[in-house]
Order: sequence, then C-alpha cells, then structure tokens
Amino acid sequence: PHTAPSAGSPDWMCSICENVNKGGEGKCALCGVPRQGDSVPVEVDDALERAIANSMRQHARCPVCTFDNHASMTRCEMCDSELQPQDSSVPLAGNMARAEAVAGEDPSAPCYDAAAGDGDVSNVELIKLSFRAGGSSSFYTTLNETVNSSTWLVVDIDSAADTPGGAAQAGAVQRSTTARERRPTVGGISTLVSAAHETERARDVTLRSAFADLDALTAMANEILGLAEQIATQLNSPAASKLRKRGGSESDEDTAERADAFRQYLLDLGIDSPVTKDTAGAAFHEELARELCDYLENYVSKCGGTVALVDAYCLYNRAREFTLVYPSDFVQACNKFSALDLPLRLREYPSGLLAIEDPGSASDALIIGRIKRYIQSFGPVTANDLAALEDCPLTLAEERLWVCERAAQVCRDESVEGVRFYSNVFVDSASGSTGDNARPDDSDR
Amino acid sequence: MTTTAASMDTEFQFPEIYNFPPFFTRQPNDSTWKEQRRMWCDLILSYYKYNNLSSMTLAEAVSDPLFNNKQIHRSLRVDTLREVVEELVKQGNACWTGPKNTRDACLIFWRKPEAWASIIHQWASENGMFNMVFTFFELANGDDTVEQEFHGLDPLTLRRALDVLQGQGKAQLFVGTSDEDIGVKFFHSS
Repeated sequence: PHTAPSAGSPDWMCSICENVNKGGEGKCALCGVPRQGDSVPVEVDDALERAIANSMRQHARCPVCTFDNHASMTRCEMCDSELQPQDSSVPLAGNMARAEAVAGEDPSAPCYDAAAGDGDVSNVELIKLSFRAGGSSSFYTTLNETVNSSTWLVVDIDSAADTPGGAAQAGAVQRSTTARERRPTVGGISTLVSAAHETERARDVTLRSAFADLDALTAMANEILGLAEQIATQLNSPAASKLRKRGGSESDEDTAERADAFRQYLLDLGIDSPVTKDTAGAAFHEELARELCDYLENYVSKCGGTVALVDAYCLYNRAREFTLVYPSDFVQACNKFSALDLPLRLREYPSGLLAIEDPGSASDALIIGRIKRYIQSFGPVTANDLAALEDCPLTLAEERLWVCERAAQVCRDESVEGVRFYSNVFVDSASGSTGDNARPDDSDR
Repeated sequence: MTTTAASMDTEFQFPEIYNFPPFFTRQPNDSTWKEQRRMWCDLILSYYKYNNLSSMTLAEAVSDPLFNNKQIHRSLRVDTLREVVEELVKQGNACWTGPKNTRDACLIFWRKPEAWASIIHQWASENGMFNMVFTFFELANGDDTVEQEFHGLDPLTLRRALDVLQGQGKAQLFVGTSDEDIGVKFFHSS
C-alpha cells in the first residue's frame, strides 16, 4: 500500500530544455533554470519508479573495490571481500552512513557518495585523506562518532522510521534533496561535460574488460594446442600402436580405426614445425619444396594425380597455420621439384594454368585413355561433365580435354550449348580408309 | 548464285560426317583440321558435281543446305568456309572471282579445267573438228555438243579449259569485242 506521490514531488519536465528532473529538484539539472510553477510533471508509473529507486538505493557497496553489489550479497562479486551488513530498516540513512564510514576506514580508497545513487553524475565525489606523522587515529575516532550519531539525519529519521512505504519514500526524496542543496548544483554545459566524461570512463572500462577476455582466450588457445599435441603423442605412442595391432575384438578394431581417423585429422590439421626463411636460410626454397612434397603427396594421389596450384597453395598454407608462405616462394619451391628429384612435378598448361602433378598417375596417356572411355560410354562430354565424372575442378577438366584435343584424340563441337567434345572421327576415319573415297578428278592432281 | 539449273531427280545423299556436329566447328588441332578440311573439300566437290553447280558466294552459301544442317542445327562459319575454299584454290579446284580479288565469291571446279580441256580436245579429235572455228556459245550450247558432258558448262570454266588447251598448243583463241564473242580453233597436239 502506498499513498499518492503528491506528498513527495513527482518528476517534472523543465519547461526550457524538457529535461526530466527529479521531483525534489528546484533547478533543472541540465540547464540550471529554476523550476517554473507550470512545469509539467512527468507521469511515471509510481510502482516502477519506486522499485528502481529502491534497487538503486539498496546496493551494498564493496569497501575494497567500490563495486555496487546487490543488497542480498554478503561478499563482493568482484573482489570477494566481505561486505558490510546493511541496515535495512533505514535504508537511506544506513547507506549514507556506511558510505561515510568507508571513507573513514580507508582514507586512501576512493569512494563515491551514496547520494550519487539517484543517477546524477554531477554529484559524484571523491574523498581522499592522507596523514603524515600521525593524527589518523584521532581523526578516525572523531569521524566515527560523527558518522554513528548521524547528526545530519536527526530531523528526518523520525518520520522515515515511523512511516514506512510511501511516506518513507517521500522523506527519503526530501532528504536527498537537502543533501544535494548543500553542494553547488551545476547545470548547463558543465553537466554535459561531466556526463561525457562519465560515458568515456564507462567505455574505457568496457574496453579494458574486453581485452582482458581476449588475453584469456589467447592463453586458452595455447593450452588447447598443447592438449592436441599431447593427444597426438599419445596416439603415436607404442601403447596405442599395440592397441591397434591387437585388434582382436570388434570394439578394439573400432577404437583403433577411430584412433587412426583421429590421427589423420590431426595430421591434416597442421605441420608441426614448418620451414621458414629464418630456419632454413638460403636453402629455404629447397626445404620448402621437400616439405611441400611430403605434405601434398597423399593429397595429390587422392585427387587423381593432379591438383591445381592455387588449391595446393591454400591447402598448404592452412596446414601451416600462422607461418604462411608467399605465393612467389611457393611457386619457386614447386619449380625445384624436378631438380630435387621429388615425386611431384609443377606443370604449366599452355593456357597458363599451373598444377602440381604426380607424373606417374597423371600422365597424358592415362588421361586420354580415361576420357576416351568416358566418351565411349557416355557420349560426347563437356568440361562440366568431365569435372563431375573425375571430381576435379572445372579448369583442370578443361585442360584435360585440351590435352586430348592436342593429341588429336577428340574433336570439338562449338554451339550455343557450349563446347562439347566428341571422339575424333576425322582422324579415325582417315587412318581407317584413306583413299577409299577418292575425290572427283583425284587422278588429275 | 547457281549458273546452271540442275535437274534433281533425287536429293544429294550427304555422307555420314555431315551429321557429325564437330564437322561444323573449325577444329583447333592441326592434324584434325587437315582431315576435316579434306572432308569438306570432298563434300563440296561432290555436291557441286551432283547438282552441276559452279559458282559460290560465300556469305550466301553458308545458309545453303550444304553448309547448314538443319537437322542438327549446325552451320559452317564463313571464315571457316573461306579457309576450305582457300585449300580448294590451292589444289586447283576453285578460283576466287570476287571483285578486286576479294575472297567473297569463287568458282568451284568439280572437274579441273585441265580435265575439261582433255575432254573437249578428245571430242574435237573424235568428230574431226580440227582447224575449224567455233564460238563459245556453239561449244557450250550448240547442237553438236548436246551429248557431251561439257554441254551447258559455264563460260568461265570453259574459258579456263580452253586457256589450258591454248597453253598446250592444241587450240587458238580469237578474242572479240566481248567475252561472249570468243572464237576457238582446235589443232592436233603439236
């Protein structure tokens, strides 16, 4: 149950700048203009307003880090130091008293005045006391006495204690007003400036905490990498291989299989200590070529013996994680394949497409044989068809067809539907029946 | 474009290659292209022989059934056709007739002028026509030659054939005021 907020004053809107001010204010907080008689009272849901006001007032401020904890907390959420028990019967008085007490206890600790709880940033105050050559204890005693007696509240405390609810509310508002009027009320530009400062500080705090999170993430990433390495070594350990070898029961085989698959994933994941310019020095490209060959050999054979250079570059760089190589270095390393007698070759097609090939499994003869078989069984093919059949990139499929064409094994049909490749009837029929269909007057030539 | 109307009892039978779509695409591979070009040359000559045609305007010819297969929706491009005709000219089976030596029109010799020359000369010797003067019109359209293959031959081809005979010393041409007024006298081979 509560009485109408007519006893206290409802929030009002400044007639000059339309700023919404607290009910007790005599001047506008923003422009400093005194309240006009006809200023519009703001209609706010009392219950809501009071709930907000209550929650603000009943913060339990931590004496160590000044964090505003929820009233129900006994320890600070931030720094885990013990909070002072709150006198709930006289919320505001207790709060203010506590705030002062905090300042007294630890003079060097910065402390916000509890009155700032009403949201007006201009009321934030910092009290810092320092003592040289004694005097602190006597000051403390005096201060403590003053705080305990709460002389500045004597008048109001009776009414506030007698009438809980709406009346107490009204009293509290009034008190905060009196507290405010003792300080010089600032309006206008200085208020805006201090508001801006406050926002800036809040942003600063947010940023700092955000970067703290990032640091934590980095730390975690290192840990996870360590963990992955540990798992890898475990899987490679003799015990694991024994487990794989044993493979007696089905479940064992299953685990072994899974372990193998997992190991494969880890292998795919990265290269342990990639070659860099720093470690290899002058032999960088040679070393890079060797590592590249080791890494790509499996992949190339899986892809039918040919991988476009671009794909290989992406794949390899992904495996290197952080120490990426330049495309130029990559190509130079690939060019050294044959000089180093490695099993892969860099091949440049006449169109300029570069591909890494395993010459054993990707010879032209093999490709031509395959494509001829496709044409025999599926009819004429386009590059698209071939890409689907061979599961290779479109550019490579095109190149393969062109290889066949250059070898006069296929011929093309260009139409609105695109380029389609047929088996080469021209050459086949020529070799089959030359001179049979003698042209007219052949004898004359 | 045809100079001689052909009596077509039956349609020309196109070879199998005519229905092969790549036949209408100029093959980039050299050896394949040579074969393709040879096939086109053969096809053109046999088609022209069958229909007794001689002249060709390239831009118009590509819409003819010979170069435009409506069944498979393929047609030969003009520049590809020009390459084919170029080859025919090189072989002596065609000559460019476009104005100012442009390669837009040509004459197709499904029988080479040399071959025509020997046929005509043989006819002259068989019929005792030596040392007699004939006009071109008489040779191509006269009553004496109705039974002959060269009856109805187009004047340009005939002129070429007679040029060959003159070069061999087997005939003498008498040039009149116009192209139509040319006379010819046949001799024994000297």
